[in-house]
Amino acid sequence: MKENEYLDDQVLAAFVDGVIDTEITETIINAMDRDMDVRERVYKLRRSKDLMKLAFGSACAPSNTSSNKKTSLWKRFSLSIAASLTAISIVLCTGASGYYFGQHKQYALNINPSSIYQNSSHILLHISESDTKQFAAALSYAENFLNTQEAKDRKIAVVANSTGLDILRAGVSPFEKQIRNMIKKYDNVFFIACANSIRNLREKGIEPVLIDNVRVEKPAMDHIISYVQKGWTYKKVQSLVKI
Amino acid sequence: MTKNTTTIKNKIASSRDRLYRVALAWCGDQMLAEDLVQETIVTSIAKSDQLRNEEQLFAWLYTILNNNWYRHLKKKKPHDDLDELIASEESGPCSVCQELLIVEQVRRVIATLPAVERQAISLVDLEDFSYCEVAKVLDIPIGTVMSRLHRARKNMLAKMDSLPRESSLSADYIHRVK
Repeated sequence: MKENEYLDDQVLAAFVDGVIDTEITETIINAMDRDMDVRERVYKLRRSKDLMKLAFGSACAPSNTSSNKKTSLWKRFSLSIAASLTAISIVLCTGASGYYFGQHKQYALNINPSSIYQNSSHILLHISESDTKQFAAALSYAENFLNTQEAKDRKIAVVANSTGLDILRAGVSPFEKQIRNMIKKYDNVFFIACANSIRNLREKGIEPVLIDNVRVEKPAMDHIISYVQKGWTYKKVQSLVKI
Repeated sequence: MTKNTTTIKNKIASSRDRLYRVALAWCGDQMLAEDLVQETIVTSIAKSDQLRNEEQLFAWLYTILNNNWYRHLKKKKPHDDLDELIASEESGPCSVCQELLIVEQVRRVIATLPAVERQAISLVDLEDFSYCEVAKVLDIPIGTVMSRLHRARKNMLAKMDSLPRESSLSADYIHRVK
């Protein structure tokens, strides 16, 4: 049996991860001084940790402020060598894909009119999939809400991102007319397109034309987080559709 | 709204990138990672008054992220064993330039690990969580955390070492960097 064989990989991993007590830490450090095999095993573990940080450590959620999509290779490589722990901006939000529209039908919605709109906050509907059922559900929900007495002093926003952006695209959305009418008819309904999703489509060579008066501001996630922080009620449209 | 609740909500909102890194490591898909993070943040902001100890914020957030991720997996593949689930090898950016980078190799390799191993390695290596914290977040024994972590690292390094050299940093690329 080798001198330091008792230092199995899990003990060494605990050392590398800093979750081991001082006494064993000292034992391992001493063992590393004397035994090349232990040293190599520790370096291996450290390497895996470093690789993880290198691969994911600098990934940022898509936003206006962190979309360093075109970080230069030079910068990436320099940083990877320099630290092995940080840097490397990544491409975020690869484009939307897989567009599909089914038949435009009236779908049964999982909405109970007596139970909705109970609290007094504004409502945020979020669509992230190109799905006719979900589009229909979102618009029915919004219209039902807008026609209630409770909606008088409240607002409803429909935020679309990813492939869900299709609902707001002129010439693509099967509900274009309905959306135009809603914007015309109600002051308290807003349709918001995610800036990142638009950019992603452009990068794929698609120039999305949005329905008039659809807002394009910041990425959907930014919108959603700021609205929810302000107390808006968030509803993912997926949850409104009967499966 | 109390000042404390506002502070927590702000902290939750600003933890987006941290959550995203881990979500990306778990699912290997940027869109899905974004979605999971969004759901996690929305849920946690809505339930922020349930958080008793602010120091536990991140563990709590990752617990919610974990629940969302499992819900997603169960919905997509209800009969699959989570231990065996691997992310799509198609996932992740794959432009010609990025193919040259180690970062892409690591991401691809991580995507081939079972979901449970990806979870353990990302929480420990990216978030520097203790084994105890990971055990709480994932609701598993510490021993399981250690063994999953061990397997994940071993598999990752073995797969990295087995990659052909030409698909890592090409000589041409290194030359350009010089």
